[in-house]
Amino acid sequence: MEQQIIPPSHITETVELTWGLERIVGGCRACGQAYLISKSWIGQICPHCINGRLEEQPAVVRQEPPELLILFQLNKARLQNIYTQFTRGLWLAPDDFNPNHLLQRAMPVFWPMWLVDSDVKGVWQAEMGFDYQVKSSVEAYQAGQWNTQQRIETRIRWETRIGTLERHYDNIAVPALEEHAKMSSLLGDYALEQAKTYQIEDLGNALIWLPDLSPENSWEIAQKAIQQAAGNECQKAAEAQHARNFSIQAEYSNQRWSQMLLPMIVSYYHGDDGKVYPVWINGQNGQIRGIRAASQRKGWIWAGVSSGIALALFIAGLLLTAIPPITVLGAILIVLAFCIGVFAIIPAVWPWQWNRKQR
Amino acid sequence: MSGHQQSSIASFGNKMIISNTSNSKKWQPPANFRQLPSKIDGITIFAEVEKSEEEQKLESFKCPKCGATTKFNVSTSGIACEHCGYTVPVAAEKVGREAAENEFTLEALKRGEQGWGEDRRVLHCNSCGAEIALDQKAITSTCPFCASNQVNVLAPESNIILRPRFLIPFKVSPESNQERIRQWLGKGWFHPDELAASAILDRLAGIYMPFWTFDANITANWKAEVGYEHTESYYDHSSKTWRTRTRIHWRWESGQIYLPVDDLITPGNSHISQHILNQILPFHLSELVTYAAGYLAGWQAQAYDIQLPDAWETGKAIIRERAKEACYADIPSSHIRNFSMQADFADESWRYVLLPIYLAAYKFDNRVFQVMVNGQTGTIAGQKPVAWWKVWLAIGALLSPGILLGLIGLPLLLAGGIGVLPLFAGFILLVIGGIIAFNLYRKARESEAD
Repeated sequence: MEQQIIPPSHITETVELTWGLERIVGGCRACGQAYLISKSWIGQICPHCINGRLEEQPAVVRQEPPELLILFQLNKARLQNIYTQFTRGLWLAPDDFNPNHLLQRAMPVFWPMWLVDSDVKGVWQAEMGFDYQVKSSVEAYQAGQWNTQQRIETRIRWETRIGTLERHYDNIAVPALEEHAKMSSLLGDYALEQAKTYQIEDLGNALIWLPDLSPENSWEIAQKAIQQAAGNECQKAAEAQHARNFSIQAEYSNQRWSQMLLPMIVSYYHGDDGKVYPVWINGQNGQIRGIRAASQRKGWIWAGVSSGIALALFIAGLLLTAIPPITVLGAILIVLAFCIGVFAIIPAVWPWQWNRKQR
Repeated sequence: MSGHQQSSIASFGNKMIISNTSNSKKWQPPANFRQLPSKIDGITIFAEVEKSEEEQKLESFKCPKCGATTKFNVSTSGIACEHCGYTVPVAAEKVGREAAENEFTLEALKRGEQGWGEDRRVLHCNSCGAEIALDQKAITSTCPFCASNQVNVLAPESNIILRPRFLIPFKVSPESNQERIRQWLGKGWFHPDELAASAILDRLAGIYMPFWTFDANITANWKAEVGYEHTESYYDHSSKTWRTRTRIHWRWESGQIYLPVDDLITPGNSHISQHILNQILPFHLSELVTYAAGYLAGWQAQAYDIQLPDAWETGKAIIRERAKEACYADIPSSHIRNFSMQADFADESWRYVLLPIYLAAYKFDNRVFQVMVNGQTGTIAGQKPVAWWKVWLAIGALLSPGILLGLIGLPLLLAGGIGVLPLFAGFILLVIGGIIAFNLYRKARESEAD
C-alpha cells in the first residue's frame, strides 16, 4: 500500500481556521477520545466512556470540513417519551434510573464516518447469477387415471464474466472510529440517503467526535467498500440478478476524503452498585440501547423484609399451635411463613439473573 | 482533489482469469470470450462462448490431396477418400453417458416446440455452385452434380431450432449388412422358403436418426389398501366337521419409493416405424461422442420432427408407469385395492442425440418390406412375409389332438362312461394347443406388421 496517496492529516489547535467553527478540541484522558466542543463542555463527562472528564487538548483534525451531515430528528418531548418507555416496567430499578435524570444528562453527539471519492480503473471478474425458470411436474395416479400438475421452479445459472471498469465513485462511507462496529451495533442503521450538505448552523451545541482512525488506516476498508460498489455496478451492467466471487485488479486515483457526521444522544444513570450505565439513542430514528440494570441492593432489602415477616409469622404460628382452640390457625401461619420464606429468595436472586442477561 | 494513484489486486474467488496488468487499456479478453452489451457506461463485459452457441457452419468434404469426395468410413473411423485412400481422423471427444444434459428451461421448451415446416428449401453447393433442393429436416446432403458431401445444411434461419450436440458413430459397415440381412431373412420356419434367396434388396441407407434421451429422479408416495391372507378354522354345520378357509384382512398402508431414471430413449422422428425401431434397441450411450460434422460426411442425417415437449410427454408416461410398477413392487402383498400415488419429478434433463440406423427395403413377391439395422450393435428387425399355409397347417396340427380326443371320448361317454378320461385329456390338449396357436398367429401377424 502506498500511503502517500491520501492527503495527510494536520495537527491543529485552532479549528476555527479549518472548519470555520468557534470550538476547541476537548479530550478525555480516560479513554483517549477527542471531540470538537464549545468551551462550556469543558469538565463535562466524556460521552464515550462516561468516566473521564473533557479537557482542552490538541488533536489530529483534517483540514476539510465535513461534507455531509444527518440532522437530529428528535425533540425534547420525543426524547422524554423514549426514555420513559426505556425505564418503564423494570422491577427493582435503581433510584437514578428514571426518564428525567436521563433527559437531564442527554448529550447530543455527532460521530464521524469517512467519505471517500475515487476514480477506479481496472479489470474485473465475477460469477454472475441469472435467474431462469424450469418446468417440472408432479404426476398423481388415482382411480386408474393420471393427472399432471405442472410446476415452475426458478433456478440460478452462474456464468463467468470479465471486463474492464473505468468509473468514479463518490461518497463511499467507511469507518472513522475504531469502535465503528460497536457503535453501528448499538445505534442500528442510519438512512444515509437523508444526509444533507454540512452547514455550521446544523451542528447546534452538539459535540463532534473526532476520528481516531486516520484515512491511511481506513484505506483498506475503503478499498473494499469501493470494490463492493464496483461489484454492484458490474452486476447491474451485466443485468445479473446475483453475483459472487467478485474480484478486481484496479488503480485508484483522484481520491478525496471528507467526513459525514451521524447524530446520537448519549446519557447515563448510576446503578446502586456504584457503576455508571450509558444509554445511547440513534439521533435519526430514536432507536435506544443500553443496559437496564436492576438494583441488587433493593433486592436484598426486599429479601430481608420478606424473611423478617416470615420469621415473625413462624414464631406466631408456633405460639398459636400451643393454644388448642386455635391450633389450626397456628398451623396456617407456619405454612404461610414457609411460603413467604421461600418467595424471599426471588428478590435476592432476580437482580443478579436479570443483570447477567442484560450484559 | 489529489492525483495520486494506487493499484491493488483484490481476489475473493478461487479462480482468476484476469491476468496481472498495470494498464487496463492493454488488457485483452481471452480468445474464447466475446463482448456483451453493458448497461453502465465505463464497464465492459465479456462472457465465455459456449461450444453449443458456436454456429454449425456448412461444411463440404473434399480430399485435400486429390480433390475427390471424402466420407466417413466405418472401418477406419475417419474421413476417408475413396479415390486415393487419404484418411483423417474425426475431431471429436468421446463423452459417453457423461455427455452434458440440459434442463427443461422454459426457453428450451419454447425452442423445442419449433417445427420445421414441410416445404423443401434450396441449398447453394459450396463446391460447384449448383442449387440443390433439400428436405427441411435434412442435416446432410450430397450434391448430385459434383458429388461433394455436405454437412450442417440446415437453413440458417433455423437457429432457433435445437441442434444435436452428441451422436454415436456408425460401427457396423454397410458392406456387412447385405449378408447380415440375407441371414436374418433365412431365419424362421413360417416364412417362404425362397425368401432369403429371392428377396431383392432395394435400398440400404445409413442414416443418423434423431432421438431424445431423458433423465429424472422420481420420488413417489403411494397409498393403498393391502390385503393379507390368513387361514382360519371354522365349524361347518351342514357337514358337522371342522374346515379351514383363507380370508383376506385389508388395511391401509403407505410408502415411498425413489426411482432414478437414466437415459430413457424416445425417438425424435415420426416417419420411421416405432414398432420395428423398438426391436433394434438398445443403443449403448457409453459410446456417445461430441457432434462433429466429419461423422456425418457421406451419410444421411435427419433433424427431429417430434418436438421436445411431445417427446417428454411420451417419456413421462413411460417413467410414471415404471414408478407405478416400483410402488406395486414395494407392497408386500399381491392383494391391492384403492391404490393411489403421487410421483414427484426432480432433476429432469434431456439430450438431443443422433443415433446410427440403417434403413433397408426389399422386394418379395411384388411387395416391399422394411428392415432396420442398429448401426452400432448390428441388431436387425423388420417386416418378413409369412407363408400363411405353414401357419394354418401348424395351427391345425396344434388343435387336432384335442379335437380328436374329444371326438373319441364323446361316443364312449354316451356308450358307457369310460369316455370321461379322453374327453378331459382332449379338453386340456385343446386349451394348450389353442394358446400356442394364438401366439403363433400373433407372431406371424407381427412379422408382417410395419
